Amino acid sequence: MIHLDHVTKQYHGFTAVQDLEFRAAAGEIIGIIGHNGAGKSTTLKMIAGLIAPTTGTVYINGRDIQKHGVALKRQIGYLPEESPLYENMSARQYLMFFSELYNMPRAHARRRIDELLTSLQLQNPEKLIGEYSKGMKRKVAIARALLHDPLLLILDEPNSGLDPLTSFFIIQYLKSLRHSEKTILLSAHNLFHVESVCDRVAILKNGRLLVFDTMEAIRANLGKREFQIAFRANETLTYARRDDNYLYHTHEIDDLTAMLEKISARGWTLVDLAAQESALEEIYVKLMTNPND
Amino acid sequence: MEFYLLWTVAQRELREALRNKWLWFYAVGFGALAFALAQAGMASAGYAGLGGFGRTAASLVNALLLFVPLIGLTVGAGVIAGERERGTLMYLLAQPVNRAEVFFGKALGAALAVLAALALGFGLAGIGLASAGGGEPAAYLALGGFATLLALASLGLGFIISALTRKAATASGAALILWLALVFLGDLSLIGATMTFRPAPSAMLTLLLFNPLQVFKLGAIYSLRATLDTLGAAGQYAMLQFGALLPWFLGALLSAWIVVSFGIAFALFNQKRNVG
Repeated sequence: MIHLDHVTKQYHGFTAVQDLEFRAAAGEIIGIIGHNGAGKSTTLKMIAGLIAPTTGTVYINGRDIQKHGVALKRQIGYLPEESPLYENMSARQYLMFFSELYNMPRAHARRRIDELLTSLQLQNPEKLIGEYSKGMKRKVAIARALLHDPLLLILDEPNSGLDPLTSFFIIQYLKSLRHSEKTILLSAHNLFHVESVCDRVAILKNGRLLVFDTMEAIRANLGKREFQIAFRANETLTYARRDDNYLYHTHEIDDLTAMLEKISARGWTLVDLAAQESALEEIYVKLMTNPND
Repeated sequence: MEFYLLWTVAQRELREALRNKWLWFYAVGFGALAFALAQAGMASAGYAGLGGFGRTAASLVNALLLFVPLIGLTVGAGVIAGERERGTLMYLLAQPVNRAEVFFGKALGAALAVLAALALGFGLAGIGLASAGGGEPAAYLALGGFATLLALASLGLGFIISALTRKAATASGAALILWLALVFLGDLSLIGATMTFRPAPSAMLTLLLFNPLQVFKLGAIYSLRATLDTLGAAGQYAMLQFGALLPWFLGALLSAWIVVSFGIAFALFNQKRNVG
Protein backbone atom coordinates (compact mmCIF):
# COMPACT_ATOMS: atom_id res chain seq x y z
CA MET A 1 0.00 0.00 0.00
CA ILE A 2 2.63 2.57 1.09
CA HIS A 3 6.32 2.51 0.34
CA LEU A 4 8.67 5.29 1.34
CA ASP A 5 11.74 4.72 -0.78
CA HIS A 6 14.70 6.44 0.89
CA VAL A 7 12.81 9.69 1.30
CA THR A 8 14.63 12.84 2.42
CA LYS A 9 13.12 16.28 2.87
CA GLN A 10 15.17 19.43 3.30
CA TYR A 11 13.97 22.98 3.89
CA HIS A 12 16.55 25.66 3.14
CA GLY A 13 19.40 23.40 4.19
CA PHE A 14 17.62 21.97 7.24
CA THR A 15 16.96 18.24 7.01
CA ALA A 16 13.46 17.56 8.32
CA VAL A 17 13.38 13.90 7.24
CA GLN A 18 16.41 11.83 6.38
CA ASP A 19 16.53 8.68 4.24
CA LEU A 20 13.22 7.31 5.44
CA GLU A 21 12.50 3.80 4.23
CA PHE A 22 9.42 1.84 5.25
CA ARG A 23 6.47 -0.05 3.90
CA ALA A 24 2.94 -0.43 5.22
CA ALA A 25 0.57 -3.10 3.99
CA ALA A 26 -3.11 -2.62 3.19
CA GLY A 27 -5.30 -2.75 6.31
CA GLU A 28 -2.46 -1.98 8.73
CA ILE A 29 -2.64 0.71 11.38
CA ILE A 30 0.73 2.39 11.73
CA GLY A 31 1.63 4.78 14.53
CA ILE A 32 4.31 7.41 13.98
CA ILE A 33 5.81 8.93 17.11
CA GLY A 34 8.64 11.29 17.85
CA HIS A 35 9.52 14.54 19.57
CA ASN A 36 8.41 17.92 18.24
CA GLY A 37 10.33 18.53 15.02
CA ALA A 38 11.16 14.85 14.57
CA GLY A 39 9.67 14.92 11.08
CA LYS A 40 6.26 13.27 11.72
CA SER A 41 4.10 15.93 10.04
CA THR A 42 6.56 16.34 7.16
CA THR A 43 6.47 12.59 6.58
CA LEU A 44 2.67 12.52 6.62
CA LYS A 45 2.47 15.53 4.27
CA MET A 46 4.80 13.79 1.83
CA ILE A 47 2.67 10.65 1.94
CA ALA A 48 -0.45 12.77 1.37
CA GLY A 49 1.27 14.33 -1.67
CA LEU A 50 1.20 17.82 -0.21
CA ILE A 51 4.93 18.34 -0.34
CA ALA A 52 7.50 16.72 -2.58
CA PRO A 53 10.51 14.87 -1.14
CA THR A 54 13.88 16.44 -1.86
CA THR A 55 15.15 12.97 -2.77
CA GLY A 56 13.48 9.56 -2.80
CA THR A 57 9.93 8.61 -3.74
CA VAL A 58 6.66 7.97 -1.95
CA TYR A 59 4.67 5.17 -3.57
CA ILE A 60 0.99 4.53 -2.88
CA ASN A 61 -0.17 1.25 -4.39
CA GLY A 62 3.00 1.19 -6.47
CA ARG A 63 2.48 4.66 -7.96
CA ASP A 64 4.53 7.78 -7.27
CA ILE A 65 2.30 10.24 -5.36
CA GLN A 66 4.06 13.20 -6.99
CA LYS A 67 3.34 11.94 -10.50
CA HIS A 68 -0.18 10.62 -9.91
CA GLY A 69 -1.24 13.01 -7.16
CA VAL A 70 -4.79 13.78 -8.26
CA ALA A 71 -5.71 10.13 -8.94
CA LEU A 72 -4.11 8.86 -5.71
CA LYS A 73 -5.61 11.60 -3.55
CA ARG A 74 -9.02 10.13 -4.35
CA GLN A 75 -7.95 7.16 -2.18
CA ILE A 76 -6.49 9.27 0.63
CA GLY A 77 -8.20 10.95 3.56
CA TYR A 78 -5.87 13.44 5.25
CA LEU A 79 -6.36 15.08 8.61
CA PRO A 80 -3.81 17.81 9.37
CA GLU A 81 -2.56 18.58 12.87
CA GLU A 82 -4.76 21.67 13.11
CA SER A 83 -8.37 21.72 11.89
CA PRO A 84 -8.31 24.40 9.22
CA LEU A 85 -11.98 24.61 8.28
CA TYR A 86 -14.14 27.14 6.46
CA GLU A 87 -15.63 28.60 9.59
CA ASN A 88 -18.44 30.52 7.95
CA MET A 89 -19.94 27.37 6.48
CA SER A 90 -22.12 24.94 8.40
CA ALA A 91 -20.77 21.43 8.95
CA ARG A 92 -23.22 20.07 6.40
CA GLN A 93 -22.37 22.75 3.77
CA TYR A 94 -18.69 22.13 4.39
CA LEU A 95 -18.98 18.39 3.88
CA MET A 96 -21.18 18.91 0.80
CA PHE A 97 -18.51 21.20 -0.69
CA PHE A 98 -15.87 18.50 -0.31
CA SER A 99 -18.21 15.82 -1.64
CA GLU A 100 -18.46 17.93 -4.82
CA LEU A 101 -14.67 17.97 -5.11
CA TYR A 102 -14.86 14.16 -5.07
CA ASN A 103 -17.64 14.29 -7.66
CA MET A 104 -19.87 12.24 -5.34
CA PRO A 105 -23.48 12.02 -6.54
CA ARG A 106 -25.59 14.35 -4.39
CA ALA A 107 -27.92 11.70 -2.98
CA HIS A 108 -24.99 9.45 -2.07
CA ALA A 109 -23.13 12.41 -0.52
CA ARG A 110 -26.17 13.32 1.61
CA ARG A 111 -26.48 9.74 2.89
CA ARG A 112 -22.77 9.51 3.64
CA ILE A 113 -22.79 12.86 5.45
CA ASP A 114 -25.75 11.79 7.60
CA GLU A 115 -23.96 8.53 8.38
CA LEU A 116 -20.78 10.35 9.45
CA LEU A 117 -22.65 12.99 11.45
CA THR A 118 -24.37 10.21 13.37
CA SER A 119 -21.34 8.00 13.93
CA LEU A 120 -19.17 10.94 15.03
CA GLN A 121 -21.99 12.33 17.19
CA LEU A 122 -21.85 15.71 15.45
CA GLN A 123 -24.84 17.62 16.71
CA ASN A 124 -26.31 20.73 15.07
CA PRO A 125 -24.80 20.22 11.60
CA GLU A 126 -26.56 23.36 10.38
CA LYS A 127 -24.62 25.52 12.85
CA LEU A 128 -21.66 27.52 11.52
CA ILE A 129 -18.37 25.69 12.09
CA GLY A 130 -16.93 28.84 13.66
CA GLU A 131 -19.42 28.45 16.50
CA TYR A 132 -18.34 24.87 17.29
CA SER A 133 -16.05 23.85 20.16
CA LYS A 134 -12.54 22.63 19.31
CA GLY A 135 -13.61 19.01 19.78
CA MET A 136 -16.57 19.41 17.43
CA LYS A 137 -14.34 21.09 14.84
CA ARG A 138 -11.98 18.14 15.07
CA LYS A 139 -14.88 15.80 14.46
CA VAL A 140 -15.88 17.82 11.37
CA ALA A 141 -12.30 17.53 10.11
CA ILE A 142 -12.34 13.77 10.73
CA ALA A 143 -15.70 13.48 8.95
CA ARG A 144 -14.15 15.33 6.02
CA ALA A 145 -11.21 12.94 5.91
CA LEU A 146 -13.59 9.97 5.90
CA LEU A 147 -16.21 11.43 3.58
CA HIS A 148 -15.15 9.67 0.39
CA ASP A 149 -14.46 6.40 2.20
CA PRO A 150 -10.70 6.46 1.49
CA LEU A 151 -8.50 3.37 1.48
CA LEU A 152 -5.69 5.26 3.18
CA LEU A 153 -6.32 7.49 6.15
CA ILE A 154 -3.54 9.85 7.27
CA LEU A 155 -4.19 11.36 10.68
CA ASP A 156 -1.76 13.91 12.07
CA GLU A 157 -2.34 14.19 15.82
CA PRO A 158 -6.07 13.41 15.70
CA ASN A 159 -6.37 14.14 19.43
CA SER A 160 -4.41 17.37 19.39
CA GLY A 161 -5.80 19.81 21.97
CA LEU A 162 -8.88 17.74 22.77
CA ASP A 163 -10.34 17.01 26.18
CA PRO A 164 -9.92 13.42 27.45
CA LEU A 165 -13.52 12.45 26.72
CA THR A 166 -13.48 13.57 23.09
CA SER A 167 -10.02 12.10 22.74
CA PHE A 168 -11.26 8.75 24.04
CA PHE A 169 -14.23 8.91 21.67
CA ILE A 170 -11.95 9.50 18.67
CA ILE A 171 -9.62 6.66 19.62
CA GLN A 172 -12.58 4.31 20.02
CA TYR A 173 -13.83 5.49 16.62
CA LEU A 174 -10.44 4.73 15.04
CA LYS A 175 -10.51 1.30 16.63
CA SER A 176 -13.90 0.73 15.03
CA LEU A 177 -12.32 1.46 11.62
CA ARG A 178 -10.00 -1.52 12.08
CA HIS A 179 -12.69 -3.73 10.56
CA SER A 180 -13.07 -1.52 7.48
CA GLU A 181 -9.82 -2.70 5.89
CA LYS A 182 -8.46 0.83 5.78
CA THR A 183 -4.76 1.52 6.06
CA ILE A 184 -4.30 4.13 8.76
CA LEU A 185 -1.22 6.22 9.45
CA LEU A 186 -1.49 7.97 12.76
CA SER A 187 0.88 10.36 14.50
CA ALA A 188 0.31 11.11 18.16
CA HIS A 189 1.97 12.38 21.29
CA ASN A 190 -0.20 10.18 23.48
CA LEU A 191 1.74 6.95 23.34
CA PHE A 192 -0.92 5.00 25.17
CA HIS A 193 -3.28 5.73 22.28
CA VAL A 194 -0.69 4.61 19.74
CA GLU A 195 -0.04 1.44 21.70
CA SER A 196 -3.71 0.63 21.98
CA VAL A 197 -4.62 1.21 18.33
CA CYS A 198 -1.60 0.52 16.12
CA ASP A 199 -0.30 -2.72 14.63
CA ARG A 200 3.16 -1.31 14.06
CA VAL A 201 4.97 1.73 15.37
CA ALA A 202 7.59 3.95 13.73
CA ILE A 203 9.75 6.02 16.06
CA LEU A 204 11.41 9.07 14.54
CA LYS A 205 14.21 11.12 16.04
CA ASN A 206 15.67 14.20 14.35
CA GLY A 207 14.19 13.13 11.02
CA ARG A 208 15.58 9.60 11.12
CA LEU A 209 13.68 6.37 11.59
CA LEU A 210 14.99 4.69 14.74
CA VAL A 211 12.54 1.82 15.00
CA PHE A 212 9.74 0.42 12.87
CA ASP A 213 8.18 -2.75 14.18
CA THR A 214 5.27 -4.37 15.97
CA MET A 215 4.78 -3.51 19.64
CA GLU A 216 5.73 -7.08 20.61
CA ALA A 217 9.01 -6.89 18.70
CA ILE A 218 9.78 -3.41 20.05
CA ARG A 219 9.21 -4.64 23.60
CA ALA A 220 11.30 -7.75 23.01
CA ASN A 221 14.19 -5.77 21.54
CA LEU A 222 14.08 -2.55 23.50
CA GLY A 223 11.82 -3.04 26.47
CA LYS A 224 12.34 -4.74 29.79
CA ARG A 225 10.09 -7.31 31.33
CA GLU A 226 9.61 -6.78 35.02
CA PHE A 227 8.71 -9.70 37.30
CA GLN A 228 6.88 -9.23 40.53
CA ILE A 229 6.60 -11.83 43.27
CA ALA A 230 4.17 -11.50 46.19
CA PHE A 231 4.82 -13.84 49.14
CA ARG A 232 4.07 -14.31 52.84
CA ALA A 233 6.56 -15.07 55.56
CA ASN A 234 6.27 -15.67 59.32
CA GLU A 235 9.19 -13.43 60.05
CA THR A 236 10.02 -9.75 59.63
CA LEU A 237 11.86 -9.05 56.37
CA THR A 238 13.26 -5.95 54.67
CA TYR A 239 11.27 -6.36 51.43
CA ALA A 240 8.58 -3.88 50.46
CA ARG A 241 5.11 -4.69 51.78
CA ARG A 242 1.59 -4.43 50.46
CA ASP A 243 -1.20 -5.58 52.77
CA ASP A 244 0.04 -8.83 54.36
CA ASN A 245 2.38 -9.65 51.53
CA TYR A 246 5.99 -8.91 50.79
CA LEU A 247 6.84 -7.78 47.26
CA TYR A 248 9.93 -8.56 45.22
CA HIS A 249 10.70 -6.97 41.79
CA THR A 250 13.36 -7.91 39.26
CA HIS A 251 14.10 -7.59 35.53
CA GLU A 252 16.45 -10.61 35.51
CA ILE A 253 15.20 -14.15 35.05
CA ASP A 254 18.14 -15.54 37.08
CA ASP A 255 17.24 -13.34 40.07
CA LEU A 256 13.63 -14.47 39.74
CA THR A 257 14.66 -18.14 39.82
CA ALA A 258 16.92 -17.54 42.81
CA MET A 259 14.12 -15.79 44.73
CA LEU A 260 11.64 -18.58 43.99
CA GLU A 261 14.17 -21.11 45.29
CA LYS A 262 14.69 -18.99 48.41
CA ILE A 263 10.93 -18.79 49.08
CA SER A 264 10.68 -22.54 48.74
CA ALA A 265 13.75 -23.20 50.90
CA ARG A 266 12.60 -20.85 53.71
CA GLY A 267 9.07 -22.24 53.73
CA TRP A 268 7.50 -18.91 52.78
CA THR A 269 4.20 -18.91 50.87
CA LEU A 270 4.13 -17.79 47.22
CA VAL A 271 0.98 -15.67 46.71
CA ASP A 272 1.45 -14.31 43.18
CA LEU A 273 3.94 -14.21 40.32
CA ALA A 274 3.34 -11.65 37.56
CA ALA A 275 5.31 -10.36 34.59
CA GLN A 276 4.84 -6.79 33.44
CA GLU A 277 6.15 -5.52 30.10
CA SER A 278 7.54 -2.06 29.35
CA ALA A 279 5.05 0.46 28.10
CA LEU A 280 5.81 2.20 24.81
CA GLU A 281 6.34 5.37 26.81
CA GLU A 282 9.26 3.88 28.72
CA ILE A 283 10.89 2.60 25.54
CA TYR A 284 10.32 5.94 23.82
CA VAL A 285 11.88 7.93 26.66
CA LYS A 286 14.84 5.58 26.66
CA LEU A 287 15.36 6.01 22.92
CA MET A 288 14.93 9.76 22.97
CA THR A 289 17.38 10.27 25.83
CA ASN A 290 20.03 7.99 24.32
CA PRO A 291 22.68 10.35 22.92
CA ASN A 292 23.99 7.65 20.58
CA ASP A 293 20.78 7.58 18.52
CA MET B 1 -8.22 20.64 -15.90
CA GLU B 2 -11.74 19.53 -14.84
CA PHE B 3 -14.28 22.32 -15.21
CA TYR B 4 -16.64 21.00 -12.53
CA LEU B 5 -13.82 21.15 -9.97
CA LEU B 6 -12.92 24.67 -11.05
CA TRP B 7 -16.56 25.70 -10.79
CA THR B 8 -16.95 24.07 -7.33
CA VAL B 9 -13.95 26.06 -6.07
CA ALA B 10 -15.26 29.20 -7.82
CA GLN B 11 -18.70 28.95 -6.18
CA ARG B 12 -17.17 28.69 -2.73
CA GLU B 13 -14.83 31.58 -3.44
CA LEU B 14 -17.71 33.69 -4.72
CA ARG B 15 -19.73 33.05 -1.53
CA GLU B 16 -16.66 33.86 0.56
CA ALA B 17 -15.87 37.07 -1.37
CA LEU B 18 -19.48 38.24 -1.22
CA ARG B 19 -19.23 38.01 2.57
CA ASN B 20 -16.34 40.48 2.50
CA LYS B 21 -17.78 43.65 4.03
CA TRP B 22 -15.03 45.80 2.49
CA LEU B 23 -16.12 44.76 -0.99
CA TRP B 24 -19.63 46.08 -0.33
CA PHE B 25 -18.33 49.11 1.50
CA TYR B 26 -16.30 50.14 -1.57
CA ALA B 27 -19.11 49.17 -3.97
CA VAL B 28 -21.75 51.14 -2.08
CA GLY B 29 -19.28 54.03 -1.63
CA PHE B 30 -18.63 54.11 -5.37
CA GLY B 31 -22.35 53.72 -6.16
CA ALA B 32 -23.37 56.52 -3.81
CA LEU B 33 -20.68 58.84 -5.14
CA ALA B 34 -21.60 57.97 -8.75
CA PHE B 35 -25.29 58.52 -7.99
CA ALA B 36 -24.57 61.91 -6.46
CA LEU B 37 -22.30 62.90 -9.37
CA ALA B 38 -24.97 61.84 -11.86
CA GLN B 39 -27.64 63.86 -10.10
CA ALA B 40 -25.47 66.93 -9.71
CA GLY B 41 -24.00 66.76 -13.23
CA MET B 42 -27.30 66.27 -15.01
CA ALA B 43 -29.06 68.91 -12.92
CA SER B 44 -26.46 71.53 -13.91
CA ALA B 45 -26.86 70.63 -17.61
CA GLY B 46 -30.35 72.11 -18.03
CA TYR B 47 -31.74 71.28 -21.45
CA ALA B 48 -28.39 70.24 -22.85
CA GLY B 49 -28.56 66.64 -21.74
CA LEU B 50 -25.52 65.54 -23.73
CA GLY B 51 -23.18 68.09 -22.27
CA GLY B 52 -24.46 67.15 -18.84
CA PHE B 53 -23.72 63.51 -19.47
CA GLY B 54 -20.20 64.33 -20.65
CA ARG B 55 -19.41 66.19 -17.46
CA THR B 56 -21.03 63.52 -15.30
CA ALA B 57 -19.18 60.73 -17.07
CA ALA B 58 -15.86 62.55 -16.76
CA SER B 59 -16.46 62.79 -12.99
CA LEU B 60 -17.46 59.13 -13.00
CA VAL B 61 -14.15 58.21 -14.66
CA ASN B 62 -12.29 59.83 -11.77
CA ALA B 63 -14.45 58.00 -9.25
CA LEU B 64 -13.88 54.73 -11.13
CA LEU B 65 -10.12 55.36 -11.18
CA LEU B 66 -10.17 55.45 -7.39
CA PHE B 67 -12.65 52.71 -6.56
CA VAL B 68 -12.22 50.02 -9.22
CA PRO B 69 -8.50 49.30 -8.61
CA LEU B 70 -9.11 49.47 -4.86
CA ILE B 71 -11.84 46.80 -5.07
CA GLY B 72 -9.83 44.56 -7.43
CA LEU B 73 -6.55 44.83 -5.55
CA THR B 74 -7.94 44.33 -2.04
CA VAL B 75 -10.16 41.38 -2.99
CA GLY B 76 -7.42 39.73 -5.05
CA ALA B 77 -4.76 40.22 -2.37
CA GLY B 78 -6.83 38.46 0.29
CA VAL B 79 -7.78 35.33 -1.65
CA ILE B 80 -4.70 33.08 -1.57
CA ALA B 81 -2.85 34.72 1.33
CA GLY B 82 -5.94 34.46 3.55
CA GLU B 83 -6.43 30.78 2.84
CA ARG B 84 -2.72 30.12 3.23
CA GLU B 85 -2.67 31.89 6.60
CA ARG B 86 -5.69 29.95 7.90
CA GLY B 87 -4.23 26.64 6.68
CA THR B 88 -7.30 25.87 4.58
CA LEU B 89 -5.33 26.10 1.34
CA MET B 90 -3.14 23.18 2.34
CA TYR B 91 -6.27 21.22 3.23
CA LEU B 92 -7.85 22.06 -0.12
CA LEU B 93 -4.73 20.97 -1.98
CA ALA B 94 -4.84 17.63 -0.16
CA GLN B 95 -7.99 16.88 -2.19
CA PRO B 96 -7.96 15.46 -5.72
CA VAL B 97 -7.71 18.88 -7.34
CA ASN B 98 -4.67 20.26 -9.08
CA ARG B 99 -3.21 23.67 -8.41
CA ALA B 100 -4.56 25.09 -11.67
CA GLU B 101 -8.14 24.11 -10.72
CA VAL B 102 -7.73 25.70 -7.30
CA PHE B 103 -6.09 28.87 -8.63
CA PHE B 104 -8.41 29.51 -11.57
CA GLY B 105 -11.46 28.48 -9.55
CA LYS B 106 -10.55 31.09 -6.97
CA ALA B 107 -9.82 33.65 -9.67
CA LEU B 108 -13.20 33.02 -11.30
CA GLY B 109 -15.08 33.25 -7.98
CA ALA B 110 -13.27 36.45 -6.97
CA ALA B 111 -13.82 37.95 -10.44
CA LEU B 112 -17.55 37.27 -10.26
CA ALA B 113 -17.71 38.90 -6.81
CA VAL B 114 -15.81 41.99 -8.01
CA LEU B 115 -18.04 42.25 -11.06
CA ALA B 116 -21.13 41.96 -8.84
CA ALA B 117 -19.83 44.86 -6.73
CA LEU B 118 -19.07 46.86 -9.88
CA ALA B 119 -22.55 46.14 -11.24
CA LEU B 120 -24.04 47.48 -8.01
CA GLY B 121 -22.02 50.69 -8.31
CA PHE B 122 -22.82 51.11 -11.98
CA GLY B 123 -26.44 50.28 -11.31
CA LEU B 124 -26.71 53.06 -8.73
CA ALA B 125 -24.98 55.50 -11.05
CA GLY B 126 -27.26 54.43 -13.92
CA ILE B 127 -30.32 55.04 -11.76
CA GLY B 128 -28.89 58.46 -10.93
CA LEU B 129 -28.39 59.29 -14.59
CA ALA B 130 -31.76 57.94 -15.68
CA SER B 131 -33.65 59.75 -12.93
CA ALA B 132 -31.90 63.01 -13.91
CA GLY B 133 -33.19 62.41 -17.43
CA GLY B 134 -29.98 62.13 -19.40
CA GLY B 135 -27.27 59.82 -20.54
CA GLU B 136 -25.99 57.88 -23.48
CA PRO B 137 -26.51 54.18 -22.97
CA ALA B 138 -23.84 53.17 -25.52
CA ALA B 139 -21.18 55.40 -23.98
CA TYR B 140 -22.21 54.27 -20.52
CA LEU B 141 -21.86 50.60 -21.57
CA ALA B 142 -18.44 51.26 -23.08
CA LEU B 143 -17.40 52.91 -19.82
CA GLY B 144 -18.71 49.83 -18.00
CA GLY B 145 -16.70 47.59 -20.34
CA PHE B 146 -13.45 49.45 -19.65
CA ALA B 147 -14.21 49.45 -15.91
CA THR B 148 -14.72 45.67 -16.05
CA LEU B 149 -11.35 45.19 -17.75
CA LEU B 150 -9.67 47.47 -15.22
CA ALA B 151 -11.32 45.60 -12.34
CA LEU B 152 -10.04 42.27 -13.66
CA ALA B 153 -6.54 43.64 -14.30
CA SER B 154 -6.46 45.00 -10.73
CA LEU B 155 -7.71 41.65 -9.45
CA GLY B 156 -4.85 39.96 -11.32
CA LEU B 157 -2.34 42.31 -9.69
CA GLY B 158 -3.97 41.56 -6.33
CA PHE B 159 -3.52 37.85 -7.02
CA ILE B 160 0.21 38.39 -7.64
CA ILE B 161 0.48 40.01 -4.20
CA SER B 162 -1.56 37.20 -2.69
CA ALA B 163 0.59 34.49 -4.25
CA LEU B 164 3.71 36.15 -2.86
CA THR B 165 2.56 36.65 0.73
CA ARG B 166 1.74 34.33 3.61
CA LYS B 167 -0.46 36.63 5.68
CA ALA B 168 -3.69 38.35 4.73
CA ALA B 169 -2.76 41.56 6.57
CA THR B 170 0.57 41.82 4.73
CA ALA B 171 -1.22 41.23 1.43
CA SER B 172 -3.82 43.92 2.19
CA GLY B 173 -1.08 46.39 3.13
CA ALA B 174 0.83 45.65 -0.06
CA ALA B 175 -2.38 46.03 -2.09
CA LEU B 176 -3.01 49.47 -0.61
CA ILE B 177 0.56 50.57 -1.33
CA LEU B 178 0.23 49.38 -4.95
CA TRP B 179 -3.11 51.18 -5.22
CA LEU B 180 -1.53 54.41 -3.98
CA ALA B 181 1.36 53.94 -6.39
CA LEU B 182 -0.92 53.34 -9.38
CA VAL B 183 -3.43 56.08 -8.57
CA PHE B 184 -1.27 58.88 -7.25
CA LEU B 185 2.38 58.14 -7.90
CA GLY B 186 1.54 57.03 -11.45
CA ASP B 187 0.11 60.44 -12.25
CA LEU B 188 2.80 62.34 -10.37
CA SER B 189 5.64 60.45 -12.00
CA LEU B 190 4.11 61.05 -15.43
CA ILE B 191 3.87 64.78 -14.75
CA GLY B 192 7.40 64.76 -13.33
CA ALA B 193 8.80 62.86 -16.32
CA THR B 194 7.05 65.22 -18.74
CA MET B 195 8.39 68.34 -17.04
CA THR B 196 11.91 67.00 -16.59
CA PHE B 197 12.60 65.12 -19.81
CA ARG B 198 10.00 66.66 -22.17
CA PRO B 199 9.69 63.32 -23.99
CA ALA B 200 8.24 62.89 -27.47
CA PRO B 201 4.50 62.09 -27.58
CA SER B 202 5.27 58.50 -28.65
CA ALA B 203 7.48 57.98 -25.60
CA MET B 204 4.86 59.63 -23.42
CA LEU B 205 2.22 57.25 -24.73
CA THR B 206 4.47 54.22 -24.14
CA LEU B 207 5.05 55.33 -20.55
CA LEU B 208 1.34 55.88 -20.09
CA LEU B 209 0.42 52.44 -21.33
CA PHE B 210 2.55 50.80 -18.62
CA ASN B 211 -0.06 51.83 -16.07
CA PRO B 212 -3.40 50.02 -16.53
CA LEU B 213 -5.17 52.97 -14.89
CA GLN B 214 -3.94 55.31 -17.59
CA VAL B 215 -4.99 52.82 -20.26
CA PHE B 216 -8.45 52.76 -18.70
CA LYS B 217 -8.53 56.55 -18.49
CA LEU B 218 -7.68 56.91 -22.20
CA GLY B 219 -10.26 54.31 -23.19
CA ALA B 220 -12.97 55.72 -20.92
CA ILE B 221 -12.51 59.29 -22.11
CA TYR B 222 -12.47 58.18 -25.74
CA SER B 223 -15.71 56.22 -25.17
CA LEU B 224 -17.37 59.30 -23.75
CA ARG B 225 -16.49 61.18 -26.95
CA ALA B 226 -14.74 63.78 -24.92
CA THR B 227 -11.80 65.45 -26.56
CA LEU B 228 -8.53 63.68 -25.99
CA ASP B 229 -6.71 66.95 -25.41
CA THR B 230 -7.68 66.49 -21.78
CA LEU B 231 -4.96 63.86 -21.83
CA GLY B 232 -2.47 66.08 -23.53
CA ALA B 233 -0.04 65.26 -26.28
CA ALA B 234 0.02 61.52 -25.58
CA GLY B 235 -3.75 61.27 -26.00
CA GLN B 236 -3.72 63.17 -29.26
CA TYR B 237 -0.81 61.07 -30.51
CA ALA B 238 -2.75 57.90 -29.64
CA MET B 239 -5.75 59.21 -31.51
CA LEU B 240 -3.61 59.95 -34.57
CA GLN B 241 -1.91 56.59 -34.47
CA PHE B 242 -4.89 54.33 -33.92
CA GLY B 243 -7.89 56.37 -35.04
CA ALA B 244 -11.16 54.49 -34.59
CA LEU B 245 -9.24 51.40 -33.49
CA LEU B 246 -8.01 53.12 -30.37
CA PRO B 247 -10.67 51.72 -27.97
CA TRP B 248 -10.04 48.21 -29.31
CA PHE B 249 -6.32 48.65 -28.89
CA LEU B 250 -6.77 49.91 -25.34
CA GLY B 251 -9.24 47.11 -24.58
CA ALA B 252 -6.71 44.57 -25.91
CA LEU B 253 -4.00 46.17 -23.78
CA LEU B 254 -6.12 45.91 -20.62
CA SER B 255 -6.93 42.31 -21.57
CA ALA B 256 -3.20 41.66 -21.87
CA TRP B 257 -2.77 43.13 -18.38
CA ILE B 258 -5.38 40.61 -17.15
CA VAL B 259 -3.75 37.62 -18.86
CA VAL B 260 -0.21 38.55 -17.85
CA SER B 261 -1.07 39.39 -14.23
CA PHE B 262 -3.04 36.18 -13.67
CA GLY B 263 -0.32 34.25 -15.54
CA ILE B 264 2.40 35.61 -13.24
CA ALA B 265 0.24 35.00 -10.17
CA PHE B 266 -0.37 31.38 -11.21
CA ALA B 267 3.34 30.81 -11.88
CA LEU B 268 4.14 32.13 -8.38
CA PHE B 269 1.37 30.07 -6.78
CA ASN B 270 2.58 26.97 -8.58
CA GLN B 271 6.15 27.59 -7.45
CA LYS B 272 5.32 27.79 -3.73
CA ARG B 273 4.52 24.10 -3.52
CA ASN B 274 6.00 23.58 -0.09
CA VAL B 275 3.96 26.23 1.66
CA GLY B 276 0.52 25.34 0.49
